Amino acid sequence: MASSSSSSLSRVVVKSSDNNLFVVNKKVASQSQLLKQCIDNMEEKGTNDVILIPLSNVTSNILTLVLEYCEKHADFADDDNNNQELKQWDHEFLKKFDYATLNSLTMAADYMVTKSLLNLCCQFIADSIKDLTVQQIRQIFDIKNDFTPQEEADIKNENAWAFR
Amino acid sequence: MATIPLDIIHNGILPRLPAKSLVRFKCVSKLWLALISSHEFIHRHLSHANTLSTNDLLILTGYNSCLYSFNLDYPADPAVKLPYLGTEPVVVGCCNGLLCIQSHRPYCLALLNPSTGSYRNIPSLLPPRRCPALNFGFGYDSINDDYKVVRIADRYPSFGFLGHQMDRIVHVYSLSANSWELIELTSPQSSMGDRENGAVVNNNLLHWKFWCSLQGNYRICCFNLSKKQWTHDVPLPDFLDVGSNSHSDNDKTPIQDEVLDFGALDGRLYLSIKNQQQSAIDIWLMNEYGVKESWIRSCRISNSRVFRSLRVSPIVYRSVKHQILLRTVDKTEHQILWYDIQSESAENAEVNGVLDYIRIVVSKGSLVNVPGGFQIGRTDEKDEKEVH
Repeated sequence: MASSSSSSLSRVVVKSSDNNLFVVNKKVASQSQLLKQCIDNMEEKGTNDVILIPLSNVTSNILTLVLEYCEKHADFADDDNNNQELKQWDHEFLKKFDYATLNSLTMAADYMVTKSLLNLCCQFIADSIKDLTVQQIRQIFDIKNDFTPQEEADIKNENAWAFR
Repeated sequence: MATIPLDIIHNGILPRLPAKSLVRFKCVSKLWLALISSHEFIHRHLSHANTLSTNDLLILTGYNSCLYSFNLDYPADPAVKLPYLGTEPVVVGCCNGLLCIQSHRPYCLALLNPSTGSYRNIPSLLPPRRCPALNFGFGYDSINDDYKVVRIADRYPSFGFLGHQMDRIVHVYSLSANSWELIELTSPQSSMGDRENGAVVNNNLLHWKFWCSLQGNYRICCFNLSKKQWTHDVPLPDFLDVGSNSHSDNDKTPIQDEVLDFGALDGRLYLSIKNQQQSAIDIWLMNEYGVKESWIRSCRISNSRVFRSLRVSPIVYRSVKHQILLRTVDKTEHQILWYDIQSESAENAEVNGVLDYIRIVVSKGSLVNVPGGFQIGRTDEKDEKEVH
């Protein structure tokens, strides 16, 4: 829904951390609160030029994924979050990635303030780690075990019901 | 490999995990242990489950006197067998993920969190003899930070007494005081069903429906746990309110036959109504608590199998899928089925790992511990022999 008003931008250019440029339609970019804020600020100043938004924390392969998500979701209204087709698409979209990609995507969603994508990633990660062992969790999140063997055994004993 | 910042793990990912996984993940590190055990996180996890309608647990009573817990978010995972508490276990109330369970031989009441294994016995208050109706309610009194159980018993005071005047006795158990208190002993002007758990709104308001045969109408009465007394009646929708004009004198359908069930769904009161004219079951929801006009018909179920049931209760509502999980009662058995509101189709809900069951209720998977309770399965626990 590009506006014809002269003080309104229809596109922005987004630059990834590895210096690739992406031309993004305004409606798609607005899925990210960070990009939307930049656009709103420029529009307030009355700029007609196409603006460049550098994203120093997001690589181009991750940015491609975030924009793919934003493009799909821009086609649906805000109150359409419960749309069954969209839910299905979301699931298929995330299913393809390994933990490393998911982690990066989650961080990019957080940085670009794309709340629905962040929530989606968090839920997806939660669903996929729920049955993992404690050791696997430490590996995935790179957490050091700071318990002594006795302490760990005590906690396990205390919560024996959940370890069955 | 890039790792996710702590903030996202703590606030985004962990609150979305099932309670049982979180209990295991206490072993990950000291930081995770402190976080998952903290009051603030336990509360956030629960409110997350409540607002997003996740972590719904079905609690089933099998024929073998076993209770099972089944997480609706993960239907492929088999149901988990809960510890043996006694024969004929019945869940008489659920609140914040805690179950209040009555069992027999010997008679006992207990509180249990089926996700964490936190457990505590409640002093027994034996059911009176000659007791045609015995109902419980279980809730949380946030003002006094106390869990409470309400028991309403109708009994005939002495055998063969002329007129058979009944007594209604209301007791309240407070977990912090660990004792039962007699609240009132009255001669009831209304009758109530048997084994009807109080419908919980806002954790501390418990509701039961009563049939007033003299007036020919229902009443929904509210018992306030904080005040430990009956406080008010909840208004009924117009068509059940005989005092209102909408119910004409020549209406032949007796009101008593219309109401198949009453309870609470996602914190709202519901009525399930047998609509004879439409050959359908209507589910009514009170959207704004206490406001008569806010009763709306949320769905009409024309499915013939559902219509034939003696009792129909909506127990889980999935807005995303436009589905309602219905519990139907035929003779003595509970059954559950998913009803699709848009396509008006019904299909049996499978519970992986449990073929036959007698009763079924819905609870939440939460990390809330039973205050003063102990953990099931600890090897150094003296009471281990009681529950294994």
